[in-house]
Amino acid sequence: MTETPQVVSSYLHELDSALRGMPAAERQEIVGGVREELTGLDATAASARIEELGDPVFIAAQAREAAGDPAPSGRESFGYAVAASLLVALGGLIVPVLGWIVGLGMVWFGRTWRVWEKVVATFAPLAVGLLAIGVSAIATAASSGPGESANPLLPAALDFAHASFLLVPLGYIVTGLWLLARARRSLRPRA
Amino acid sequence: MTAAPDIGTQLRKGVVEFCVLGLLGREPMYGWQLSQQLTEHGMIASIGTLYPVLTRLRDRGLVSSYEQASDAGPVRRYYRLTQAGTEQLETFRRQWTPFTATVADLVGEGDPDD
Repeated sequence: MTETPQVVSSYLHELDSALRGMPAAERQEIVGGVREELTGLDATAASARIEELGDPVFIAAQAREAAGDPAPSGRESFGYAVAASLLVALGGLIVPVLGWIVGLGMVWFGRTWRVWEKVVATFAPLAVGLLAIGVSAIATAASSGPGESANPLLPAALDFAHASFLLVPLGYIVTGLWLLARARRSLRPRA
Repeated sequence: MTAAPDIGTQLRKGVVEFCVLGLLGREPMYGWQLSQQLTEHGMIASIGTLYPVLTRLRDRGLVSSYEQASDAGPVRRYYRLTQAGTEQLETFRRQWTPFTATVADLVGEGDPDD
């Protein structure tokens, strides 16, 4: 069995992601049909064929249209993407914690983002929080030496805990903006 | 601002299924073959349009598919007309010519000087 060139596997992966939300049978048939055309080609021939096949996002849009899928048009789904991104960015500030959870839920249910983007969006702000807690723990250990009173001039653990209260919302804001930027890229029609 | 509906798109949408039946009436074909023929003739813009059409035709029993290994390449899924598909194609052929003639009559040819 010949090895599948990288360009083929990533193209098929992109196509499959772009078809997310279509009926499974139809999705498999399209990806299967394209796969059989790329099977057995070397990287150069496969690249040329991929050029002919065209942008996976375009193929998926055409498939949706032909299937009469009432999938949101680019504009509607962009509205959805904006709402989800803004909820991730600011939801937690309006309704503490719950706002972020709802925002991330919308992100996971949406078709705009790829799985890795959803994973990043879910864990990046948490990672910031964990990092702040870690730094705070180290600071606690460092500042509470045996028999010494904490130096009031050194940043105490409490300050880091405060900092994490600022850092986590900031993490969500950055994540929300990043999601918005990714959404714009994936929804922009390509020629 | 609303864009004017693209007449070409509407017309193609109405007949693309029959074009697929017509192509398959000549010989069984696999997806890429069909897609290339239809794309070359400007009936579809990408292979993405083709598969939902094939699925619909198969659901209606007009087309069936089978897999066949090619000499040098991959196993391919071929599509062919069923008996019902052949009959449907025949019906379409009988109606199409008089239909276009009628439309041409009604629409007229326009002023060639325009």
